[in-house]
Amino acid sequence: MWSIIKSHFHKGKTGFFITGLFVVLSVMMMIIGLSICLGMGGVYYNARNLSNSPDLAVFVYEELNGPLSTRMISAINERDDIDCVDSQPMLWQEMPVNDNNYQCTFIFSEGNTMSLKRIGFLNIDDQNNKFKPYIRNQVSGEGFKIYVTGNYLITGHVGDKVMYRYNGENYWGYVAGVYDDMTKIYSEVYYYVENDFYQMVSRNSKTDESIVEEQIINVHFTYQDDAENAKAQLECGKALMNVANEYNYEQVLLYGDDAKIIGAGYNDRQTFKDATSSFILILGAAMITFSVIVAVIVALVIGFLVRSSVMDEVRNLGVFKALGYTTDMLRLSYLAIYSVISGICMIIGIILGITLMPTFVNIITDMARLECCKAIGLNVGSVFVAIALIIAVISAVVMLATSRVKRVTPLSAMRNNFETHSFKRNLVPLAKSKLPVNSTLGVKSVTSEVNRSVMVVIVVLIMSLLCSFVSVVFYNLKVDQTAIINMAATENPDYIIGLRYEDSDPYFEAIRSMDGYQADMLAEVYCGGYIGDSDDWIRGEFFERFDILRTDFVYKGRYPKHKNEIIINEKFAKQNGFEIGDSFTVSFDEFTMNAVKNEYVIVGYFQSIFENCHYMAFLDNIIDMLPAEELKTAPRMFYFDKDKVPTYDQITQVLKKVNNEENIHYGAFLTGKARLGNMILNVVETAADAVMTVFIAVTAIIISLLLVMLIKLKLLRERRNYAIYKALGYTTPNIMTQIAVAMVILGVIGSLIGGIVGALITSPMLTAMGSFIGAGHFAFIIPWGYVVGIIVCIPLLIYLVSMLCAIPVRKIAPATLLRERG
Amino acid sequence: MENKEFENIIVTEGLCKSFSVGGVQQHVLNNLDLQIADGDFTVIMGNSGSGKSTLLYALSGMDKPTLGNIVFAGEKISEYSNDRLAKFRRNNCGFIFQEVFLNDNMSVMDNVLASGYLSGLARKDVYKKACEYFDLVGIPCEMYKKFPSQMSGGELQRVGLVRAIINNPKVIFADEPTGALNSANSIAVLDLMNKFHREGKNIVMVTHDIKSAVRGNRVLYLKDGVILNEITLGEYDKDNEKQRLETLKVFLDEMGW
Repeated sequence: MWSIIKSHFHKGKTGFFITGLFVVLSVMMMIIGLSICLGMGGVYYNARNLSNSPDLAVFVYEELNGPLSTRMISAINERDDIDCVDSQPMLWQEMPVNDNNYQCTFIFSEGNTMSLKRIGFLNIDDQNNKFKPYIRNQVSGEGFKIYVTGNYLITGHVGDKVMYRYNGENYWGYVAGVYDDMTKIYSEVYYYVENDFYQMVSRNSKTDESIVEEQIINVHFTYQDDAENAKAQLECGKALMNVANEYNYEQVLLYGDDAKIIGAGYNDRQTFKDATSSFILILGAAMITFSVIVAVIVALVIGFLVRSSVMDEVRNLGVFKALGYTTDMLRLSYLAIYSVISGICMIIGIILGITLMPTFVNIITDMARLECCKAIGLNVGSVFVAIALIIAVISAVVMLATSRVKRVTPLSAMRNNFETHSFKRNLVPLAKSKLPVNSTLGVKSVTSEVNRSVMVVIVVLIMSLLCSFVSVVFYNLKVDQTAIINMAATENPDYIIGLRYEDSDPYFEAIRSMDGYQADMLAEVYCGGYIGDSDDWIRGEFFERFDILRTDFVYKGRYPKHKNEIIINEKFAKQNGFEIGDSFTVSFDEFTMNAVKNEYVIVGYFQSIFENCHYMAFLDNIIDMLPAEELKTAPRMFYFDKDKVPTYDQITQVLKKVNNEENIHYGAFLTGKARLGNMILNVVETAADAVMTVFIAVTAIIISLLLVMLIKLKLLRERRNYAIYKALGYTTPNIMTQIAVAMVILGVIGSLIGGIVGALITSPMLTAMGSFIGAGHFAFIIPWGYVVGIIVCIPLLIYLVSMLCAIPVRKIAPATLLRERG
Repeated sequence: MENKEFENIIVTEGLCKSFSVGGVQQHVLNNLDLQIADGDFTVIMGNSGSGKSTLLYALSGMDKPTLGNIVFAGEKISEYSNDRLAKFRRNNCGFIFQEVFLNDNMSVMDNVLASGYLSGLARKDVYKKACEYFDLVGIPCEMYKKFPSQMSGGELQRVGLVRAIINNPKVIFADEPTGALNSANSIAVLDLMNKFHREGKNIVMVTHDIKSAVRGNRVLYLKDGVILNEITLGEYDKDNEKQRLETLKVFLDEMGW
């Protein structure tokens, strides 16, 4: 029996090596992928300790220890699940972009700058702050110190210079470190500064209305369990919003139109977790999927190797049976060798998984820009799952592939074949072929080795499907982001312009008179309300008109045409049992929307992954609903002819002429792409390059390794035939071409099916995967050029690798082989 | 194809072939000079290990000599690269092996055409020629589609013969062509070889079988890599077979066979 194992090992050395490599890869990816997915819960729990951030942060737009925040803190203290609570002051400054006297500009090390239009200052030296963040990556420099969230590191670096200009006077500082914040909106502009600087801004706030003191109430719950904590966050957050509503209502009753309304809002750890964990989970899930795919390839390769070995060893197997060995004993000999090899490789895979885990965690940390992600550690269970997966795959495949051993009899040994009859069919007769001889012989090789051909087609199909999938995603993230913009329901006008004047109309009129002007409408008029009389909150966005939108985000139904019509997020609709045609009532915010209660008919679905999918967009008589102050400061979206879009300077010049001003007071000046970029695209664009490169490299490596194994095995098994071919007059290049043609044909079939299917299923698959984060509808553009590139490049790669692998054909000397046989 | 006439179709000068076996050099052919005249049916005999097959493979350009020259149909093939040799073999050499060595994954017709298509002739003509040869060796057309595993040893060797002659080679090299056949099939194959010889084919055959050897008109006896002696038997005829056999036996006895 040892001789069978030895012969099998001898013939399949390369196969064993490559199978082993795949086992290592599969085990490693499974361990890392599972550890990431299972470790996400721990991240958010451990993050409390790693970042010292609260579970719930309530923003109250009043000075420290004001009446509303005092009432809120009392309400919090009445709860019996509070571990710690405090309130910290924050200064919020509006920074006119085009006013040279007021600026806050970050100067990156490479010379680029980033000017902020608004900035929130927090005091790092506030001794009363129980949630003082842990600072990492600290450096020293000159001037005041400013601490940034990890989000800043997308474009900037620790040590960058910062210029703060107030009333024409410059203050220089530097980015002194990074902090993690789980509950304050980490992509927004909250900066911790030293006490001296903070006090200076605070002094300015006494005389400058553009600087407002606000406060944040930080809450830490006693719950250790993530789910319980999340429940408390939601419950407490809503209760505090009710406190704010009650307080404001009392004020209105007491003072009528003179009532001082105080705004409030909150962020909780769970919302943050939902927002950030989705892409990390997708990354983990992608690794698990990849691990399973590699395991499938392992199964195919082992299946092929074992079947080939059984066919080659019929004579020996028959002789063993004649000697008294049972079928099970012979099958177990195959299982034994694969168990030993995969056992060794599993150990290597586990070691590599454990070793590389910190590297992957660092990548995730960089992507999430949160140090707390480093809390993800090795999950011991993942090791067992990986081992179980490989053992299950190998046992099943070996036992299945050796089933033919049952049919081997001593008679088979005499015939050196299983069959007493041959049912071979000549599918490609040379006499009928119009192809060149070498190509025809290549085609014949495809049809005569069905097992090998099926395996190659399946592997190429899987890999090209993945490549095609990734290329579609890459194209839509990196090259043409229309689909993403549509998905995010973010309108993309040429300009969004907000002005800080008592009467902005003459300025807007001046822009409307510019050449190429098409249309404009109110932008970013956000509002919110409760569904009916429930406490289920929904964020709304008002549109003056839908017909000029460039972003086509309604994917089911239509846009509202009448003022009582509304479009909503499909996930939200399903959660509430709504369908298109149904109507529901929205009780708008009592203070910012004049407590309007309107009924709306749902006419279409769109999606927005923001606000946990509680999002709606509608037409209504918003002018009546919004306070006049709100309307005055609301920016407007401007649309121009495609080839006549004015430059920033042209718009500025036109505005300056209205009142012959030296500077224009912008409140906002951003394009749609920039808005979206701020939200998501910065992260995904960086990731898209890396993922695309990795996938192409992995595809090339897997296909190349497979070819190396198959061709080496083929040269070993077919060396006699090749010797005869050479004797008959075939040259080395002729035989190399035959081998390459056979592989290329399989590659074309696999890549054609895989490439097209991959492109077509990308959107449906993403829809299925994304439905849990509210992105339940993907309509990605299929870049057919990329798909064709994949379909062409994979067979080209196969041709090159096959030709290279077939070079040893030149060593086949007909005389030597024939002499051996003789 | 160029049809030059040569007095000697193959000439060797100082032909040497050595192998390294376990680090020890073994000289299988030693300074061998040989002329094979155009039109001969040459038989190479000798004990096991005498270098018969090595000589056959060297003469056919399947193997390169360690030293010495081989001139085949006026071309000094001993200086050719492997690929040039392969191209040379296409139109100059036909091979018959003891184990036939047909490709198991191809039908018998495809096995023949895979060789025939290398000749450069029109495919239709090659197919027509293959059918004619199959008919000649007694393989009916319903068997063309059969695979080697579906045929008997005698039938396979006849297919091997067709493959050997399909390109109209100058020389047919046969290595123990009847070694795996029963008596009836051996006779049939040898008869065909004699027929091809009569039609003008040069044949060089290695054999252990004295009954096969009498079919040749020249028998070389090889020992330790040199031609110890040779005998000319004249043209084969069934009527003089007994007499040839006796003559050959005497010759072989003298050689220590």
